[in-house]
Amino acid sequence: MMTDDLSMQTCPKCGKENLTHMTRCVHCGNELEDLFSFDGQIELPDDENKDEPISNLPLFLEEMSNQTNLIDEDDSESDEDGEASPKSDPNAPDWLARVRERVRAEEDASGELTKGLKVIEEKLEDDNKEDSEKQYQAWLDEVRKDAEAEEEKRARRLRPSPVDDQGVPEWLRRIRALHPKEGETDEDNENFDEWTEEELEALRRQELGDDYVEESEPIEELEEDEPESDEKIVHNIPEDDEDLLPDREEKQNEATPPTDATEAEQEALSDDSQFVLLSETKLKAEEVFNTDALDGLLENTDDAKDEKAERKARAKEKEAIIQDLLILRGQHEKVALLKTLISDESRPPRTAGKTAEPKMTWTRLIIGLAVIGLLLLAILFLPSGTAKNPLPSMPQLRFARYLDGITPDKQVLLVMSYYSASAPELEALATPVLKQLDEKGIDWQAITLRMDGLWLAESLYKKAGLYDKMGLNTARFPVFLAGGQFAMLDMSINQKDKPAQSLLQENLPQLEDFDYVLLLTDSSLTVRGWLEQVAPNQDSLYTLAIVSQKEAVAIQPYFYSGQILAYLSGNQGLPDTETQAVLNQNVYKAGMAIILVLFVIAVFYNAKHGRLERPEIEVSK
Amino acid sequence: MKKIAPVIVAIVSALFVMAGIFFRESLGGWLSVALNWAIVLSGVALLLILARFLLTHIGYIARGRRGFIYSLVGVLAFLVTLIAGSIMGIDNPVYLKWISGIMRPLETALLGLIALVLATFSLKLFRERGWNALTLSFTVSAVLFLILGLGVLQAIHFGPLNQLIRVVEGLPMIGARGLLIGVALGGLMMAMRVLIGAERPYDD
Repeated sequence: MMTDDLSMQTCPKCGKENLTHMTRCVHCGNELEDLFSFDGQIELPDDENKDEPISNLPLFLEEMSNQTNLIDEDDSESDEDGEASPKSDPNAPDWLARVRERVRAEEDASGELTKGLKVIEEKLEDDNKEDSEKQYQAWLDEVRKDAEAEEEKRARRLRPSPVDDQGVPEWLRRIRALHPKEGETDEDNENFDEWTEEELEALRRQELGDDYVEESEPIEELEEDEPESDEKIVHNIPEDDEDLLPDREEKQNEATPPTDATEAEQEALSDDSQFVLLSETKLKAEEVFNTDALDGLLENTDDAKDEKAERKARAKEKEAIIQDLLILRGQHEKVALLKTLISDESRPPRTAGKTAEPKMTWTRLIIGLAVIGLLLLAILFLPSGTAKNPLPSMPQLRFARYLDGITPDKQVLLVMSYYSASAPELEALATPVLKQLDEKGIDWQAITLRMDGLWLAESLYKKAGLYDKMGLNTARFPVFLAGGQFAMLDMSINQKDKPAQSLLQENLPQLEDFDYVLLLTDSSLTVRGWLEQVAPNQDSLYTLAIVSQKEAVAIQPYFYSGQILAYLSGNQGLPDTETQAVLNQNVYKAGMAIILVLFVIAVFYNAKHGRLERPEIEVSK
Repeated sequence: MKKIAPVIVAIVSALFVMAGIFFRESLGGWLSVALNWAIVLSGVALLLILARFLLTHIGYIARGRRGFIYSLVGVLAFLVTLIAGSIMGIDNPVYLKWISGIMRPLETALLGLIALVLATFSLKLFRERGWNALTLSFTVSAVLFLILGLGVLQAIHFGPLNQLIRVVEGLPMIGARGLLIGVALGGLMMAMRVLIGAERPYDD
């Protein structure tokens, strides 16, 4: 019945309330098998208060108990006149009965202790007679009130639960309310209880989702609650307990008179099997929270207090059900949130409540086109080689000095490792160096750590004016060193007197033949690999480097530690050479100026629009 | 055994390479052999990668997967390059010119695109991250080094200013050195973990 109080159980894990028939906490998913009980199950009063001290004893009894602490319980029982003394136990042994009779017959036989007790009682009666009576009466009233409350509570428990009265299990009504089907007819509702075990299993799995654990016993017990036929529900409530049902239920049954056959069948069942047969009232999904129908059922009740209490109970139940439903929806939302987080894992964070403005898109496009246009204009129209760095850096100066110090009797190994995209920058830096080596008649060879170095070398030699001099099949054409850092280490430990140990690269130059190594690379990793794998094994080898601008910072520590004698990078080529003519310094600086201006504009623009505050990251549900 | 064997091989290999470096006179030759084995293995791994690439994209083409046209272009480019290199030789000037003519503009365009993307994201940094210590330090350093890169301050030829510029230009080296120290320590720790079998990068 909707108006009944819900029997709740408290989850031991989260402390929140659940319906008694729940085998799993709807809040935290904790198993509640130990707390499981049927709706309408008779719960006998526990002896939980047995050991508790009677804190509500009247004052005179407390005083009496304090004063008679020294008196044995058997002796106290001998006082038959005291109001608080217990009655004689009919199961007491004969000798005790005889003693009690003698005590009653002979005053002296009661002994000193009994006399003392009597004196105490008389004294108490004299001193606190009126107060004692009042306190005792108040205590009796309180005990009676507690007993009535307990009786009422028991009666509520023994009432048919909402499941039983309406014929629709509690969980089923909740599920129907959660997923109401449009156009569901009464006929469909009547047949709705024809659930097979498989369907119920699937339904629970669908509702509980990941929290669902297949449990044999509780589920079986739950399934016992389900009606086996679509018309009648037999509840296992003894008639003795049925007497405790409120009159309102009888009136309700009268308000909805069953058919004659059904009534007769009910009476027969009641007489024969001591069980009550209640007619099943199907509840539609839309009627779960429809209080009008229940109000109609309550029209026959005369007691306004009962009606008010029922309304409160109904509201409480409704709130409990809604709370559970909200939790279920909350679980779905959590799942949706988790899915969203997983799907958005690699995406950039979205700012809170800020949507892209179409106006800004056009602004960005215009700014981007303006930047590209300015760069194109600078590339096309700015004269090259007019701007020279007035202050050569320390690595530049040292490189020039070491290059000048290389005599024709020295040998130089050129190690190439760079991408095609870095070729213009590195070729601009390496071309004057190669020219100077060639002019000085220094013998040099080249190896490449990358396959594309084979055709990049051709471009480099052509720019240095060496291609025509060398031809195609000279020893200065680079040798491909396959194997990366393994090959570097192999080359460094491969000794000249044991060439047979090298199995793969027969034409590999011997490092012992060289005095200088010139690294030409756009990767600091290559420089680091060379310095870590090769240089420690070749102490007499001096290392120079030509690197791209973006990697210059990464090799600066090697320069200041002396592992690299000198290096050239970016626009810091050899001083007083034609590097600037190859790499247009003006275009380079124009590009930097444009980026600088854009950067400043971006800072001020964002500051003006209040975007410099840290935005909250919105997580969409 | 399936898990122990790779650990044993890795530890023995590492110990052998270390011994070869420390006792180069006596074990250097054998170390070279071991390194050549490693090079051959890496080449085989590259072949496996190529085979995987071909099988995957041929599968895409056969199934008519969405965007299979890109798979078709990739497979055809690979096959044409492989066949031409095999027939003409990788030292052939025509072949090299052909390859270089494709590779250089592609990689240069990609590098230019990366530069633009980096510039765009540096400008969007404030809107995405707001105004905090990271963006503030980034802004100051970016503006400072962009101004230094223009060479305007260096053209003033003022002694103390030039000294200050040199100090500022040396600041990035401090960060780079810290990174190198971190890399060295990380490499050392990783090597120790591999040696004792605590780290198994070769495992599943």
